Amino acid sequence: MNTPEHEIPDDSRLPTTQIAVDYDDIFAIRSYDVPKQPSRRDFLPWHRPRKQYVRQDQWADEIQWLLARRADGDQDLRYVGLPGPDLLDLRYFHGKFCQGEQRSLRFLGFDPSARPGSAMGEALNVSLQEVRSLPNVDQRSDVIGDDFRRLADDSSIAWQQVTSLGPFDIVNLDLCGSYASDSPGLDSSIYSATHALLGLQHRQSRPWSLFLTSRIGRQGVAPDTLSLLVDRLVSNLDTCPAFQQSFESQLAFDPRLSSSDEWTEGQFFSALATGIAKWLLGLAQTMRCRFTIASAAGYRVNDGSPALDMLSVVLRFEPALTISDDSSGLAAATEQLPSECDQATGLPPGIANLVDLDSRLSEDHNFRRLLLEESAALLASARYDVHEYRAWAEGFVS
Amino acid sequence: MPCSWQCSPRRRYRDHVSDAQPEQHPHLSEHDLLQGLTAYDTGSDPLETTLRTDARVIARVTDGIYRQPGSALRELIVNAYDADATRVAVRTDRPRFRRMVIEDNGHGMTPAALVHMLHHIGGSAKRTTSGAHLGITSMDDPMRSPHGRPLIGKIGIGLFSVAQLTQSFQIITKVAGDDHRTVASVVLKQYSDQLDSSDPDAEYEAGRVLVWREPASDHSSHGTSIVLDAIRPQTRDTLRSKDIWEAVHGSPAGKLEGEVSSVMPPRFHIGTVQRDDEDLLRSEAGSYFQLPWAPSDDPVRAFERLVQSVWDVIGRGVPNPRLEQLLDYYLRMVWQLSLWVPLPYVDMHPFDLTGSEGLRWFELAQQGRERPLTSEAGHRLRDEARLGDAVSSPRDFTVLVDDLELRRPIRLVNLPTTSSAVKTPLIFVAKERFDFQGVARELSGGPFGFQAYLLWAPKIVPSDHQGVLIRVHDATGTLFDPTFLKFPLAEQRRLQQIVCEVFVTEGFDGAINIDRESFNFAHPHVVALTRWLHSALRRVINVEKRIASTALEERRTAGTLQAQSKAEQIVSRVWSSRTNADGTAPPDVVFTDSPVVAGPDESASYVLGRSQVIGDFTGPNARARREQMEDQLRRITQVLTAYDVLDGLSTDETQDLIAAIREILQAYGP
Repeated sequence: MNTPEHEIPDDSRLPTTQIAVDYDDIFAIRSYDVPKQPSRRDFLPWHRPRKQYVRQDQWADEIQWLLARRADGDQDLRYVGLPGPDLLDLRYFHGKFCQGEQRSLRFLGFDPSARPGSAMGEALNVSLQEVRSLPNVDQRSDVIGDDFRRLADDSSIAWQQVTSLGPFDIVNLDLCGSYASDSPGLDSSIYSATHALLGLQHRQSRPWSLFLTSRIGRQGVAPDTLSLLVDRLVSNLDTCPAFQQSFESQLAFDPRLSSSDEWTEGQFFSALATGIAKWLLGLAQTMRCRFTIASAAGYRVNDGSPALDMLSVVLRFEPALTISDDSSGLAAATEQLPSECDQATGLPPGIANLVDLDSRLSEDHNFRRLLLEESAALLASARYDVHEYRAWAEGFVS
Repeated sequence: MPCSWQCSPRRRYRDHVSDAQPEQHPHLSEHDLLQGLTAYDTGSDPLETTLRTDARVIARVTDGIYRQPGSALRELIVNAYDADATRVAVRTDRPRFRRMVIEDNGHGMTPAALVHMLHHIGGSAKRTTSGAHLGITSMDDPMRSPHGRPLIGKIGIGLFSVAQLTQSFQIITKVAGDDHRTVASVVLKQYSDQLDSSDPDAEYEAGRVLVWREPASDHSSHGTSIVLDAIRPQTRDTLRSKDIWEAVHGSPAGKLEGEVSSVMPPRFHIGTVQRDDEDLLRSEAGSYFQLPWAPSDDPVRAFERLVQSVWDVIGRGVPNPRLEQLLDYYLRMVWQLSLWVPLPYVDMHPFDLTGSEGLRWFELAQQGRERPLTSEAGHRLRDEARLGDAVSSPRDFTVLVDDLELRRPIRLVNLPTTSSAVKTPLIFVAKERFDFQGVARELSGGPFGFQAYLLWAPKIVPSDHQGVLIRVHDATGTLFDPTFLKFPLAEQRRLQQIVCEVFVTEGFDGAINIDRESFNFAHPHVVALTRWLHSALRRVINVEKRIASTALEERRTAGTLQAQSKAEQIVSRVWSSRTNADGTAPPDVVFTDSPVVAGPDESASYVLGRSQVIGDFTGPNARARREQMEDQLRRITQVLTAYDVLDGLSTDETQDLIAAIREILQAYGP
C-alpha cells in the first residue's frame, strides 16, 4: 500500500549539505554567446580640428621646450595620461618626437576600455598593437583599466604601476568633464590623485609639464569644491597685493566684490581657471618648483555658450634643486625660489592671454584647413575613414 | 574625468546574440569565410562562424591538456618563435591577472592562414606543404619557418592552449604589406562528452568566433597579439599564488580546528590583491611586494638580478635553495618559461666557455673514454671539442614578461664552493649520432643526433636544476629530470651535483608527447638517449671520483686533515657511507648571534641563530656548557644533512627542528 510513509522521497526534500558555491569563482563568463561585436566608433567632439591646435601648438611646443633643455643622451620621453582607446596623442607624440630619432616613448595610460568586457576594448586592443608596433615605443608601455583616482591610494595597483615608471616628463589630464567635479576631501578624488602624483613628480629633477584639459563652466563643478577654490583665491587676493593687481589688470574684475553666482560666464571661467592654477601652484611651491602657465587655450563645447567653457592649459614645473637657506648662516645663501605670491602674479596673464580657438580658427580658414588635414591624417592612423571625417569636420568652424 | 569615461558611444550592432539552440550556430565554410574577409568592407557586420577541430579528440586537446598556466604561455611564445618573431612581450596586470596580452612581431597571419587555423585546430599547415602557401612555413622546407627557423610547433594546437587560461580571447594579426588587420574574437566551448555524442572522427565545434578586418595605415608592420580578458578564476588564483597566501593569511573560509598558520611568504613575490578589492594590494610586513630588482632596472638587468637573488640566498642560511621556497608562482613561472623557450643564457652558452671561467673541460668521446680538453684562456670549448655551430643561442629572439627580459637562468661562472674535495667544476661535452643502420626507418623513427654537456659542480643552484633537460630545436616543455632518465646507480649525492642539457640536432620530435611536457619512453630515440646518458653519467662520476680521491690524498699528505674527535669520526663514517666516499666533507654548521649571515666563504654552511636554537645559558660554566651543546648539535645536524633531512626545510623550520633536539637533550640532563 502506498501510504505517505512508503513513498519514495523526493530528492529535493532531502536535507542537502550546505556548501556555498560561488560560480564567479569558477567561470569568467557564463554564457556561450557569440563574442561581443566591436563597438562603432563615432566621431566625437575631441576629434574636431581645434584639438589638433592643442596637440600641435600647445603640447608639442611644450615638449620641444622640455627636450631642448635635456642633456645629450637623455632621450626617453615618459608619459602618463588618459589617452582614450584611440591613443591619438601618443601616436602624434611618437611621430613628432620619436620617429626617426633615437628617442623612445614610454607611456602608461589610464582608460576604462582596458577593463575586461569594456565596450571599447576591441578598439583599444587594436590601437595598442598599432602603437606598440611603432619603432620607438618602449615595449613595457601599456594602458590599464584602473580609475585614475586610484592613484590616491598607495596600495593600489594603479599607484604601483605609476611608481614603477615615474617620474614623468608629461602628465596629461585630458578630461572632457570638469577637473572640479569631485567634492573636496575624498580619499579617492582627482585632487587626491593629482596630489599623490605630484608627490612622485617631486623626484623629477628636470623640468616637466602638466597638460590639463577641463570644462570650466558652472555645470559639473562640485559646489563645495568651487567654494573652496574661490575662498582660497579671495584669500590670496587679500594677502598678496601683487597678485591682486595682476588679477584685476589682466582679468578686469575683482572676485571679492560679488559672489560667484553673480559673475558673468567669462568672469567665472577666469576665476575658476585661476583658482585651479593657484591650487596647483601651492603644490608646486611645496615641491620647490618654478610654476608657470606655458600656454593656454579655450573653446566652447556648447556652441551656444556665451563664453568659453573648455580650458586647455600647459603648466610647467621647473624643479629648483635647492633647499631653503641655511638659517644658521654656516652655508652661503643660495638662489631662492620666488615666493608663492610672486609666482602667482604670473597666472592671471597666462589665463588672460589664452587663445580663443573658436575665434582663431573661424578667422583663419587656411589654418583651420591645415589643422583639419592633420587631424584627418592622425585619425586615419587610428583606422577612421578620412573621407567621412572630412565631411563630419566640415560641419564645424573650429 | 576623461571623455571616454563619460561618453559611451553607441554600439554598431548589438551587444550579444543569444542562441537557444547551440547546435545551430552559424558556421561559414572555410571558403565562404575567406571570401567574406577578402571582400570585407570596413564597418560592415563581422563574420560569424564556429571554431572547428578536425576530430573530437583534438577538441579534447584544445580544451586544455596543460597542467599549468605557464605551459600555455610557453606555447604562445613558441608560436611566435615559429612565426619568425624577434620579439615577444607578455604583459599582465600582475598580481591581479584580469588581463593578459601576448604580442609578437612575427610575420602575422593572412586572412587565409587565420581562416585555416580556425577551421583546422590540430590540423596545422605547419610541417605540411600547404604551410608555404599560407605564409607560415619556408617555401623550400615545410619543417622550417619562412625565415628558416626549425619549427617547434607541430599540429597547431599551440594557440588554443589559451583554453588553459581563458574562456574567451581576441586575436589581432597583420602581415607586412596588408592594408588591414584581421581580428577574431573567440569564445571557447567547454569540452564535454555529454554534450556531443556524435561521430568521434567528425568535425567538432570548439567555440564561436567573430572575424572582421580593420584598416591599417602602417602597411609594413606585422605581428600578432593575443588578448586574454576572461581569465579563468582558477587560473587567476594559480597566478596569484592563492594557495600560498591563504596559507599565510588564512583562508576566507576560516581555519580548521586547531590549525596554526606558520607559513611564511616566499622570499620574493609580486604581492597579492586584497580580498574585498582586487585593485588594491595587501600589505605584507610593511611592503606590498618583494622583488629582487628595482623599477629603474632595464629588463635584462632585472632578470639578471632575479637569477642572482636565487644564488645569493646560499649565503643567507639557505644552503640548497629551491625555487618553491624562494619564489611565488608567477616568478617561478617566469623562471620556467626562461628554461623552456629558445633564449640566450644569462652568462653564455656552455659551449662558448672561453677558458677564463675556471672550469675543467672534458670531451665524452663516442664509445670511448673521456678526453681532457685544453681549458686555458683564449680557447673555446666549442672549438676544442669540434662541436661546430649546430647548437648555439638564438641571437634574434627576445622574450619580455612584464619587467623582465628572459635569459636562460643557468650559470657557469662564479659557481658556489662547498666542502667538496674537488673545488673546480668539471664540464663534459659530447656530440652523438645514432643512424640505426640496418633498422627500417619506419621502425627507428630515422636518425637521432644531439650534442650535450654534463656539468659537475660542488653545488647546483637552484636545486631544481639538478638533472637532465632535453631540448629539441632549443625548446623544451619539461623540467630538469633529477632521476636522469631513471639512472639506476645509488649515486644520489653526486647526481645532485650534475646538471645536463641535451640539444637534439636530429630526430626525437616524434618521442615528445603532445603536451610537450613528457616523452614516450619506448621510442627508440629516448631509449638510445637513456643508454647514452647513463653511460655518460658513469664516466662523469668516475672522473670526479678520481679527481676527488687525488685531492683528498694530497690534503692528507699535506697534513691538513686534523685529528678527529669521536663524534667527528661518527659523522665522517656516516657521511662517507651516505656519499659513497666521494671525497666531500660534511657541511659546516655555524652558530651565530645574528640569524642571517651573508658571505661567500660560508656558502655551504648551515647558519643557525643562537637565540632561536640554543636559547639562554646561565649559571656556572654557562659558556662552556653552551659550547658543548653547540658541538653536539653541530654533529647531529651534520648527520641529518647526510640523510638529506634538512633539504626541504626552510631556515626557520631547520632551526625549530634543531632547537627541539636540543630541548630533548637537555630534558635528559647532562
